Amino acid sequence: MNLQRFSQIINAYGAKIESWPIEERHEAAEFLQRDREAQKLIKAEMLLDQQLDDYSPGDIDVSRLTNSIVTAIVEHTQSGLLSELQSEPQPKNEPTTLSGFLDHLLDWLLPVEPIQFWRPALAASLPLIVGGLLGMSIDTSQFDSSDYWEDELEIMAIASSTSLNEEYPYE
Amino acid sequence: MSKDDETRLVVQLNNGDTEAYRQLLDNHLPAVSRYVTRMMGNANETEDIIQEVFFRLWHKSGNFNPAKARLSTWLHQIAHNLCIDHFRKHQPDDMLDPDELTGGTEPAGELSQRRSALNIEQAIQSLPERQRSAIVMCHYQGQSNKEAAAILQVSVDALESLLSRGRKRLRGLLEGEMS
Repeated sequence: MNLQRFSQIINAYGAKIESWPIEERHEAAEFLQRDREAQKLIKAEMLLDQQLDDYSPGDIDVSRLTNSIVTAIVEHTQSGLLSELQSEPQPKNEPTTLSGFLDHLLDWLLPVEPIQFWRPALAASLPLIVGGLLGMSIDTSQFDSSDYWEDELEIMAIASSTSLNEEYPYE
Repeated sequence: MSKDDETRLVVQLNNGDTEAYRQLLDNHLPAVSRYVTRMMGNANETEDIIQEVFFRLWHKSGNFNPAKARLSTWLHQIAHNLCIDHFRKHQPDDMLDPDELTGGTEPAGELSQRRSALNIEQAIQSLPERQRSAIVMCHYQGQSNKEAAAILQVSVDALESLLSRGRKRLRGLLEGEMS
C-alpha cells in the first residue's frame, strides 16, 4: 500500500473502512495508522461521508407496497389462468340437426383454408349429377308412343264435333 | 437468509409458489426500495419502478442464475436499468430550490437541517446517472465493489473512476455546506 493507492481508495469509497475493497482493507487501515499524510487526506472524506449519511429520503411504506405487489401478482395469475382456459380449443360438435348437417356439408365443400379447388367444382356440378341420376332412374318402358298418338287424335276429334254443335245450338 | 435458502426459494418461485415469492419480497424489497428512492429523488414513478422490479422477479425468475450472482445483485441490476430507462424517457422535474424554503413556525435549527438535506439531495440528483448509481450502491446500499461493478456492468477500475468523479463533484457542490 502506498499513498497513491490509499488516496485512490478513499476518493472512491470514502472514509469508512467497511466500504473499502475487502482484499485491501487490512493493508489500507494499517497504512492510515502510520502515515500522517493519509490521516490528513481522510478528514475531507469523513466530512463528505457525514453529509451523505445525514440525507435520508422519504420512507416508502414497505408493507403496503408488498401487499399491493402480491395482490397484483395473484390477480394476474388468476386472470392468466382464466384466459388460458378460455383460449383452449373447444371440441367440435358433430352435426345433430339438418341445418347442422348442411353447415357441415357446406364447410366441407367450400373450406376456408386450405383452398381445395376440386371441392367448389364438385359443388357446382352437383345439380347436373343429381339430374342425370334422376333421369336414369325413371323407367320409360311403360309408355307406348302409338297409344299416345291415338289418344291425341281422339281428343282432337271430340273437340271438333263439340265446337260444331256450339255454332248451331238450336238445331 | 443463506444463499442456499435463497436458491431453494427461487426454485420454488419458478414453480409458481407465491409463498416463496412473498419471502423473497420481504427479504429484498426494503433494500431495492431504498436504492430506487435515492436514485429517483422525489419522482412520482418511484413506486412504479419498485413494483416493476418485483413483477420481473415473478415473471423472469427463470433468467436468474444463482451460480452467477446473488439475487440482490440481480434485482439491483434490474432496478438500475429501469431507473436509467426512466431518466432517458423523462426530463428531470424542476426541483425545489432550498432558498425557497420559508420557516413559518419551524425552529431555525430544523429549517437549516431541511435546507441542508435538500441541498444534499439536489447535489446527488445532479450527478450523472451512473455516478449517482455507483455512490448510492457503495455508500448507502453497502454493496461490495465487485457487486456494484456487476450491477453497473463495468470493471472494478471503471467503478472506482465513477465513484471518484462522483464524490469530487459532490464535494464541489457541497463546499458551502462543508465550511
